[in-house]
This record gives sequence, C-alpha cells and structure tokens, in this order.
Amino acid sequence: MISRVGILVVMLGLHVALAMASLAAGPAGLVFPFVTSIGDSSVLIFWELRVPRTALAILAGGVLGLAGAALQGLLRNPLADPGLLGVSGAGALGGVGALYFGLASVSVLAMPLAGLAAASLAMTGLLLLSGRRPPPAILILAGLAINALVGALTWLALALAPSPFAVAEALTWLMGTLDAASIQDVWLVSPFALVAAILLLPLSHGLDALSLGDETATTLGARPERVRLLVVSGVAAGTGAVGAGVGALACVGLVVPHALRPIVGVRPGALLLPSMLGGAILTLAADLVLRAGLSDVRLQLGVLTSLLGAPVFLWLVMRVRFAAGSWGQGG
Amino acid sequence: MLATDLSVTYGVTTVLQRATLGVSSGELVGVIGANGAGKSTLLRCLAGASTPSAGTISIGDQSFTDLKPEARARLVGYLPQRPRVEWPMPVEEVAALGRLPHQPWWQGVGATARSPEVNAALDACDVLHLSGRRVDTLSGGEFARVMMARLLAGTHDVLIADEPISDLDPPHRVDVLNILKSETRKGRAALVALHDLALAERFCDRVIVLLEGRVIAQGAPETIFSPGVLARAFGAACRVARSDGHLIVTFDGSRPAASA
Repeated sequence: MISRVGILVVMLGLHVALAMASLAAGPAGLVFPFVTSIGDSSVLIFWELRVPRTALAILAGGVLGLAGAALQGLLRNPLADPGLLGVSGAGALGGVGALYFGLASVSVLAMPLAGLAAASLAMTGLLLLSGRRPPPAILILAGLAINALVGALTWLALALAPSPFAVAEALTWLMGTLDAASIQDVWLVSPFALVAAILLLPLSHGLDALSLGDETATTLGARPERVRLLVVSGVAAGTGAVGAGVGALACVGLVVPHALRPIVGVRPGALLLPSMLGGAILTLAADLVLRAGLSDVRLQLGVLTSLLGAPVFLWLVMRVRFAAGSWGQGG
Repeated sequence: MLATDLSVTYGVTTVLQRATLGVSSGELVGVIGANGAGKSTLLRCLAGASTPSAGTISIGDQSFTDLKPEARARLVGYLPQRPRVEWPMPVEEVAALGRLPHQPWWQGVGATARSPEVNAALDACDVLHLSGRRVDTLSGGEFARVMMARLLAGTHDVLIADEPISDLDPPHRVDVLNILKSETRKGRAALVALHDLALAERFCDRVIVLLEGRVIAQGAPETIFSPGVLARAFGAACRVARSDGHLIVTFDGSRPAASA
C-alpha cells in the first residue's frame, strides 16, 4: 500500500493541475495572464469569471467531500450524505425563497444570504428535533423529516412562483451551477468553508474512537456528544453555505469518501483530509468536463454530479444488502 | 483502584447500591453474580463509561471521577461485553485504536498501527500473524483476541473486561484469561466479570460477588465458592465439589422443581 503522505501528495498534485486547467480553459479559449500577453477582455474573463469559478468549485467540492466523510464516520454508515440532513436542501430553499419574494433583484447577495439563514434554521431545527444525545438512527430520521419539509416548501414556492422566469432561474440554481459564480459568492462561502474545515478536520481521533461504539469511545477519552455536535455544526455551516452559494451539488459527499476507501482505508479519521481534497478534485474535474468537453450542451454541474452519484448509491445499497451487515470496502 | 459506596440509579430503579470494592496492582479480580446483578453497571462506572449517582472512585490519591475523559482513558482500559467494530478495518488499526488516549490529536492512528506497543499487544494475544486481515473476516475467537489486543495496547494501569470469554469455546476462554493473568504479573490490575466459576477460581486472586446491586461477599475464591454463598448469589441450590483441585459447581434450575 502506498504511504498516506504519498497519496496526499498525489492528490494535491492532481488538485493543483486541475485548478490550473480550470483557470486556463473555457469557451473563451486559452487565457493565462501571467504566461500569454493578452487583451483587456481576456484579463477580465480570467479575473471575473475563471478565478471565482475555480475557487468556488474547490470550496464547494472540498466542503462537500469533507462533510460527507465526517457524516459517514459519525453515523457509521457509508450511505450517509450531507444532503441527508436536509441542510443543503434548506440552503437551496432559502435561495428560492429570495427569488420568490423578489429579494434577489434587490441585491446579488440576497439569494446566498437567505440560503445561509435557512440552512442555519434547519440545523437548529435538526438539533432540537433529534434531542441532546441522538442515536445515529434518530439523527438520520430527524434529517429526513427536515429534508421532506424543506423539499415540500421548495416545490410550493416553485408552484406559486409569480413568473415563469423566476421558476426557470430558481430551477437552474436548484440544479447546482457554477455558471453564475462571482467573487462575492467566493467571499460568502469561504468563511463558512473555513469554519467547517476547522470544526471537522481535528475530529479524526473522535470519529475513529466512535467506530468502537459510544461507550468504548468514552473510555478511550473521546466525547461522543461533543463529536456529534461538532460534526453537525461543521456539516451544516459548510453544506448550508455551499447550498446557498452554488445550489445543490448532489452526491459529491457520498461518492468521494466511498471512492477513497479502497485507497486510504475505511477508518473514518483517515478519510477526512483525503475526502476534502478528493471532493475538490471531483468538482473541478466535473466542471472542466462540462465546460471543455460538453460545451455545446447546457448541463448544470449538479445534474452531472447526480448522474455520477446515483449509480454509486445504488451499487452501495446492493453491496450493503448482500454483504449482510459488513460495509463494502470497494475494489 | 478503590470504589467507595458506589450507587447507580436509573429513575426509580437502583442498579448498584453502596458497593465498596478495590483492586490493586498485580491482582486479577473476578466479578461474579446472576444476570442483572449489576456487574456491567459496576464495570462501566469503574471504566468511566458512565457516571455513578453517588460514591467515589479513586486511583492512588487522585479522584477518578474528577479527571477529564482523556486522563481517565490513560489510566483505565475497558473492554465491553460485546465489543463491535463498525467499519471493516485491518486488525492492526483496530488494536492501534487502544493507543488513542496516548496520542496528540494531529497524529493519525495509521502511524501507530506499527508501533512497538501495538505489536507487543498483538503478539501477547497471539494475533500478530493476522495483521492486514479485515476484522470482519475473523472467527469469533480471533476477533475476541484482537479486541483483547486493543485493550492491552493502551498500556493502562487498570484493565476492566466485561465477560470477555462468554462467547468463546473452552480453550479460547483459557487463552484470554491467561493473557489477563500475565498482564497482572507485569503489575497491572485487572477486574473481570465472569460466569464461568471454575475458571474464576482457577485464575482469579480474589472474587467479588454481587447480588441485586450489592456486594455480598469478597475474598479468595476458595473461601467464596461455597454452596451457601453461591446459592444466595444465584438464587438456586447448588452442589460444590473439587476434582484434581478444579472446582465443579452443579446448579439446580433457578426455580424450585415443584413450581416448574
């Protein structure tokens, strides 16, 4: 097995290479202000379009990958996904609400801010609903309940939308897209992404200990209640902000930790940092495919990640079912 | 380790009532009692997995209950009645989880999986050759010994194990108790809940008998394992015999024959 540092270095290299490609490529052709001498419009394209787009892809993918790994570790279930807790859905609902009430035309920040507010509300609701020491199953059920409510409200807002244009705009955004990425979105998402990373990355010992059960984890010096609170807060802050800034990027949090398990192992603590890098790599790659490979087709990023994720999800369910209780290591 | 007047109540039910007991270094102490006598509750309290409603636990001159979970974990190791591992990790990583209390937060478990402490623990439990195997592919006996290695890897002063042998076949039962016995020879203290009275007498230096949350007897196994004490502890008549120095206890059913 390749060493852990080796894996991280390879992933970091891949990450940088894809980020460079993302900065350099696009419908406007090869643009790189430091290397090529180019005109004013190209510099504008580079700084106003490609830098925010690349930064947002890295932030969103990194947060979702990390959140997925942390959540799967907490719930001790490889089928867990940040979308499951209803927090990313609430972020999207907030955005749609801003469109519906016409707040979106007041300020560019209205949609993401409303999304963040709704995500925080959903998280508070989740914590209230699941109680102080929720067992994993109760936390999942509470998340499903919040998710159902949030989904229903989103469809209600779409059904009652004042104009077809608002519906179209809301739908594009619900599907998850980087097409409208601006530097404001980056500033809005990055503090929350940072909070998520600060809360989640140091939890590797706690999550490792939890894999022996709450009781044994306590006798290993872990504090299960605190780990649970930190994971839920970190996941909510991160995915809520991504849901608000980019829309729903489904399945990144599910697919990335799963794809990494055969390489870095199944221990939840070992998956956190690689999943963050992996999430960013997957999102950058998916966005590059959309821009460079399928530039004729107008397909949203969230749709592509869903198309990637659904078969993996199906396969995981089959595997868990037929392995009779032992989680698949893949490969 | 000394526990004084330990009580645990859940709502109106009292599970443990003013239990006072101790275990010193170099000693293997067995905890005996019928199902529901409070053995697991007692061991969980002593391991720091649950908080007693009243009473004190001390190690040396420090109060165990006042310590932070991290500090408690460095002193006392705990193996629950039915240990489980929720992810199919390799054997050496599971054993390395026992080192968590001694690691700074930034150091990963992967790095300690090949440390001398983990290797020594795997070797002591005769599972070093299983390194690299996934725990979900092990047999029951192998799994139990890997979990014992996880406990030993922590190099705790006090080892607490809740019925570590109840799921094992007879030779493996002896293996696991031999491991614990050799740990106490290194100066550790061990407290083990047991249902196998013959093995308790063979391996334990002292035995504590629980009945309905109270300590009703404690002392050397030869003096404790009398028909009177055992009949009271298990609520059933029994005959006690010895053959080649080994204890043989034969119980009648837990109900009088007439009412069955």
